[in-house]
Amino acid sequence: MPAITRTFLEIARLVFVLWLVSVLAFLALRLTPGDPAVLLLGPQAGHEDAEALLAQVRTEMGFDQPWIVQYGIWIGDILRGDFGNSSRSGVSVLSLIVNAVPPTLWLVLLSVMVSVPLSIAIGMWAASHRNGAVDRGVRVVTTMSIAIPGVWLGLILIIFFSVNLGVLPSGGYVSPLIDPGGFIRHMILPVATLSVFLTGVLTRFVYAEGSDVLRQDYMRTATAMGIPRRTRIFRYATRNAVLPMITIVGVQIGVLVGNAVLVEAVFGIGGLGQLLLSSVLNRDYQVVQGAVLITTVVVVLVGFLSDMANRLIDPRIAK
Amino acid sequence: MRWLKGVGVARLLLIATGILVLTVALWPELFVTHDPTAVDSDSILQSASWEHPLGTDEAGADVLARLVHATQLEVVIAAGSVIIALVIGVPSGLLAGNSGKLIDGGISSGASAILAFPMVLFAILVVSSFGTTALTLVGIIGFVFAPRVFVLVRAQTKALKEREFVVAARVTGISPRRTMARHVLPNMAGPLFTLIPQLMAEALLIEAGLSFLGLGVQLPDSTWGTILESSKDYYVTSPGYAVAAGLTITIAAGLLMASGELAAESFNPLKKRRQK
Repeated sequence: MPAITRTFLEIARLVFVLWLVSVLAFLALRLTPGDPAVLLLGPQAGHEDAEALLAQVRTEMGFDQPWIVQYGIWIGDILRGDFGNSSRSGVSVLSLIVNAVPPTLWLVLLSVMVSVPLSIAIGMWAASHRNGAVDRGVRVVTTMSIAIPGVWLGLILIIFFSVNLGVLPSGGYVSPLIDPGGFIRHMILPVATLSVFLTGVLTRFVYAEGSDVLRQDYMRTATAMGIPRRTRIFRYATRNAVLPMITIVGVQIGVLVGNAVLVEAVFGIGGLGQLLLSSVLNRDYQVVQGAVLITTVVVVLVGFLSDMANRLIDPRIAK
Repeated sequence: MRWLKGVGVARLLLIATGILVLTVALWPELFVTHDPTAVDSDSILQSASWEHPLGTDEAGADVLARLVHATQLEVVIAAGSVIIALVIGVPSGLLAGNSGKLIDGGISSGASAILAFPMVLFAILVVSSFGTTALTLVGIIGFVFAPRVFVLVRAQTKALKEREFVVAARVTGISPRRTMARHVLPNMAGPLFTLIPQLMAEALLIEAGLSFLGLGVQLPDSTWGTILESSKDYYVTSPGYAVAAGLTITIAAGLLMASGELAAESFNPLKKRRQK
């Protein structure tokens, strides 16, 4: 299949998946037992004169219409950038989300920046020193790093570094624009928490790929040609082993965002996680739905782009 | 006793641990004498002692007893969600693997859409509207796991369908349904048994995460996740409480993941380790 046709098909599939994502996000709230108008109004629905308000919400949101019409109205608004307003504060959902994104984005970005080089170094080292003990060591350490609940690891780091040693703040967020030093100090523990998981996942991958690449014929040829070991491993093997990582990181972004939301809760960082959580507690469903939908769409797009980038860069799969 | 050698020490230990965990889940009172719901104002947040090996919680109940008694619900969540994932994923995977482009593409895209959601966020969305009972947790986690089972079963079906023994079964006139049930399905047991413990481990971790956000099961039920959640307010004065709860989850998840890997090796002779 020519590359253009395939790219076109991929994009068509992407659009279809995004559409299904929106349907799922829509249904997740509409399938809820109970009156959606009551849910949307939130605490106000308890007032005595709420009946008029409820009726108004029902017509406004079109709850008296069939589901398919309701979905049409909902998705139409969203495509025009209108995610509705918070039933709590009346602020537009979009602006709430935009304000909550920076801390979460920093967490995810910094974790990727820490984990990628770290996992390449560990993974390639292990692959080039492969034997029974190294093999078992990599497995045990990476399995543990994936098996530790992030929320718990965060707590342990706080107990150790903030409570016992008192060297790092136990939580909170400082904008890098206001105080870069404070920003870094506040980010160290949460980023470390997230990076333990991500480094575990990526190290496994680099180790498997690296072991594979080092067994290839061209590596043996390079050895026979007398190319120094350092050049072989760093220049030849690492490049080939690490390229597919672009896709893996893209796939892991979703998991990472989910973990970031949890880690934010541990460290009291006012990002997307805090917004989601406070909205859930306030029964502010518009905000929950909007935030989950936007995050998911971004995650899907990042995954798609990283896959495309990988194909452009790596001639082995761009056939 | 020669077959024991083939199984290996690691596998035997894991199987024994599995049986032990199931026993703990079924008869927790055999292992601990303290009442997990005890309220005793004289023994609040004590550190470890002979009487309370893991200390006591904010109500004065024995932490070890709470963890042991919570095992049952934890097993229900891990096993229940995987069973739901299998019930949805296996038939749809077989169907997609055997169907033409249209049906296959439709189901596969649906699976991609569910997979696209960051799991924790999707769980928050659904839990926020359906409420948090063990049952909704099992349902949600099972639902988000289903596409993982689906993807595996679909790929296996497609690969196995072309193999000689399946073609032979078809040529001899065995009905397609019987071919699937007797020849295709048993041959994907290996990959499935590799995925199942992995998913169970992830179920424990998701449950812990959701519980930490306050979206776990509600009292009087408790899970390792909700015990961890309640310990988080006391980490300064009694760090041992939080350590015990989290370590339990970590060890359980780690052992499940390890058994998934060992299962992969047992079922795939090519993957058996070269170094002995």
